[in-house]
Amino acid sequence: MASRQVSMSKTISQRYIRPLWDGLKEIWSYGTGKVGLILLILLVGVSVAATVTMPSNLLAMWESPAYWDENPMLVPPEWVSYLGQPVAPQSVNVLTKPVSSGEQAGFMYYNYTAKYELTQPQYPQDVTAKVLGAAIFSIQANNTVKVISPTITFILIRPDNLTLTLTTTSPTISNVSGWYTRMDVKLSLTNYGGVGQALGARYINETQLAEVVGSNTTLLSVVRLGIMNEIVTLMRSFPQYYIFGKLVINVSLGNISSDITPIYQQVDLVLKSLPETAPGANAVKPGLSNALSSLQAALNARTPSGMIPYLYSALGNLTQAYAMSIAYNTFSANQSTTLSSSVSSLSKIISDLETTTKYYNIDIQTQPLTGSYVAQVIVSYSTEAPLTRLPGLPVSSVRIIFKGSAYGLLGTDDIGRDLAVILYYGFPVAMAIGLTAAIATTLIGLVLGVISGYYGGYVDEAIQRTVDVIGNIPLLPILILLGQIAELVFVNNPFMILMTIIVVLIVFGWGGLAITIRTMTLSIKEEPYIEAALALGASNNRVIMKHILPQVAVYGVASMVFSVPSAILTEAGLSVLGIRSGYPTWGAVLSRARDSNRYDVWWWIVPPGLLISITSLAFVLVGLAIEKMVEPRLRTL
Amino acid sequence: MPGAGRVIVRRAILLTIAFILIVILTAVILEGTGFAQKIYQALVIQNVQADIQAFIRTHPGATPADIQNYKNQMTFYWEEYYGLIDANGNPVPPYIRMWKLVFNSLKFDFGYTNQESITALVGKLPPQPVITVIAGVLPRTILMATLAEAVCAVIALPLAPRIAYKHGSVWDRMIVSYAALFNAVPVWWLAMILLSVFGYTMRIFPTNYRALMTYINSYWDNPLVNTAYIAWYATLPVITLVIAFLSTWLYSIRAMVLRIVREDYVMVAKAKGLPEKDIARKYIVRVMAPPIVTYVILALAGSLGGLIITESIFDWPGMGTLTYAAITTGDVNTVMGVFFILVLVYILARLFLEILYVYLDPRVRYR
Repeated sequence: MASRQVSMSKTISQRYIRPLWDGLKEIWSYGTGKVGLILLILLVGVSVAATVTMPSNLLAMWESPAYWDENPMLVPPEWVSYLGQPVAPQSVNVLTKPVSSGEQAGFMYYNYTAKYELTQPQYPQDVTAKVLGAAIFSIQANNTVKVISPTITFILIRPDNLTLTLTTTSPTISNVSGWYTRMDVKLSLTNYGGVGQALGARYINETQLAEVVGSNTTLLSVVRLGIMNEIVTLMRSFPQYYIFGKLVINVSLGNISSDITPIYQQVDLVLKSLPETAPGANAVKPGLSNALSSLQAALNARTPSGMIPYLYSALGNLTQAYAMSIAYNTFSANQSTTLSSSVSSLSKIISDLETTTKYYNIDIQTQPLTGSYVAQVIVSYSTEAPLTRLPGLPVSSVRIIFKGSAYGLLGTDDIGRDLAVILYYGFPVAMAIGLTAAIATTLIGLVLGVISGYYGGYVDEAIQRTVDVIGNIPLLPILILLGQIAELVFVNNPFMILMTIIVVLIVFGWGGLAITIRTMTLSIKEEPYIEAALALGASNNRVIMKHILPQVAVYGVASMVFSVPSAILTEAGLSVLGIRSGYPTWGAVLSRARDSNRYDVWWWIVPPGLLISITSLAFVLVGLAIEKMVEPRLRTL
Repeated sequence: MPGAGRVIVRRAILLTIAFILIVILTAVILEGTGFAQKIYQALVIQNVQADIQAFIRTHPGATPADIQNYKNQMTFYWEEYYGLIDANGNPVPPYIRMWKLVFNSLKFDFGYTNQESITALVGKLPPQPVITVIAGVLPRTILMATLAEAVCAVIALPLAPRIAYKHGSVWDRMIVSYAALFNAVPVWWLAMILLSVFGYTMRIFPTNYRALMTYINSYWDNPLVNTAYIAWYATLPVITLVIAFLSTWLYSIRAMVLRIVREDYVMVAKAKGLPEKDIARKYIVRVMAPPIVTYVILALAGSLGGLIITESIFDWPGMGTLTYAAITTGDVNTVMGVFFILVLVYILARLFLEILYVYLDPRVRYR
């Protein structure tokens, strides 16, 4: 007898491993199956790798903008540079030691420096820095507590040797526990005025300016100031174009004569309608005609600097003539008003010219400035601070970040999330959703189908009626409804929301398979060998387990493989609609893109959809191969 | 054929039972889970707040006591309005509301909707009868989803059998690859991509499909121009859906044909040397008719529910958008109305198929 005893491992091998291996070999023999299996192995491999390396705080990380603040926002992948698009690289410099330090005029300086090479004509998105663990001291001096905090300056030295002070800050805390404490400071451009001034001073074309404005120093300085203000205004919307750009500033004269001409015409009209006999006509007339000739001279002048003296002279003459006319009561009320309005219009023009850039067209164009940039963070402490008593340096580390115009393998989204990272961790979630739903659906369908077909009677009727109900109910609306309810009930519990969706998919998903399996069981039940087994005294359980289940199981496997993608697609679809569990699934990435209505951002829309499609495709292809296995009529002859 | 009659009556009764069960199940999900209760309470608070704001604006001298008084009054009004309490102020438990919902629905009384986002779909202000809203929205879904299914049917029904006959050819392989590919690609993602390319980038088709309503509502003012506009709006969604659905249509019908073409009796007929035409007419079409008719009719009936996700991508004002708006705003009446109509249509379609089978499938007649 002992020789007939089969070892446990051999039984397992013969019963399960062997058929599975044969099955896989057969799937492999079909073209679709081969592609499907390769894809499937890749998917499983990536999923396992992602699961192993998944950080435990993935959910918090995904939702937290602070985690991604060193990345540029909404930028394409780095490889777009191979498609001919110029790219400014991303560069994060972590400095634990200052490049130089030293004492000067009662202050201790620590200088942290990072270099950045911009080779392609493209603007980096931003330059920022973080000073981590900057010490703030609290010292006792003359019975008072004095808080000493550092002054931090963030400087950018550009390839054109322009030094821009991006920000200067002195972080402070009101109550320092102990004699010192450390805090983190984030630095980014705040000194718009200073940067605008520096850029203006460098890039205003003085020759051109003098050509347009003339030599009047007041006017020149007004225009210069106006240009700088314009730079600052523009810089507030797109700072990177100015921090990393060279400017082409073009100033031209606007339409000043269209403001002077009406005054000329009014005065001319008043002068012409003045009768010789009017009281004081002789006193008023010369003033008016002098004013007219000055205005004409101003109109003929080429530059505002040339106009100004004539305008002043016209204003003087006009004011005097007006005063005379009032004294002599020369004019009618109407004419008087006209004259007085001419005086005020003229003085308005003069003051506009001398204080604003209203009469100039200022056009500022920028171009990326390539070359090497140096960013400096200078932390300075008053020498009063007990710096030497500190363990280590007064600053733990400094991070200087040049945000690129492209990032990583798949770009970033609207809060700077690295899409490659997020999509990578989406693999196991997608596979888990798909497999859980598919396996559970299949098992329920298989078991209930066999029971329904084998036992018949009331059990059969009950199962069939249940299938009638779940098969006729519109699944997606039910899913949305229950997903919505789950969001209300399980607030901040992503796992339960996701489980609700999966459970609904399972509960409403097994009907079709159960009916197919039932029909198959009905025909198998009539086979003579079943009758024989029952006659030999085999229990129902044994007949089901030994004779029926193995035959219908293949169909079950085919159906399972086909229902994996539908679960993945449904979850993604629900995410897109806004029923989100909170997991960083591929659907969730797509839904964020959709919420911000950015259909144009291809690196945000295409990759997640492709991943969903490829994953589904792997299962569909394997499913097609299995379908051919179990349904030989579909085979190619 | 008394047997057939009995079969039909039995199926009719069973489907009716299933239908009523679905209505009850829907009501349970809406009311039994406390979903409606929560939504209603939120609505009451929201409405009362709006009322108090208006009250303070119109009565500048109102004392806090007046306002509190008014607040209590309006809370009572709105709670009664949403059926949370009865006329005496006693709370109405969810299960009573649930049965009320079931019975009213079965009497085809779906009540009114008070959600502006829902009535806006038919360009009106609330309250509107639910049935009016559904009737207004349904044609637009027919224009998109049902039309797409019909186009698929027209293409697939003649094409798929031909492909099946040329089993294994290049064409056949291409169709199978296409079917596998578009089985895997989500329709709504395809919609996003096509909308992005043809709508946003190339600007051939519109990007905001909500505007379609204008042309439908004022259709008779200028039928010619409006038809052109409606066609322009419908083209991209219909193309998207046809690309996605045709794969399933071709593959399913091909598989149905293949199964029958390879039956032994067809082989025997071929072996006997019967003319191909006769084989096709007598042995194949006759047997193929029931499953294919089932497929076509259920696809058309199912399409009336609209495609919630795809419609939301296009912002297409159809049944899917209505369903989604109803669920997210917690408008129980509309949700119930939509479910009721959709399930009813689907169940009637199945019943119709049962009756049709008596004529198409002799096996049913003589069972």
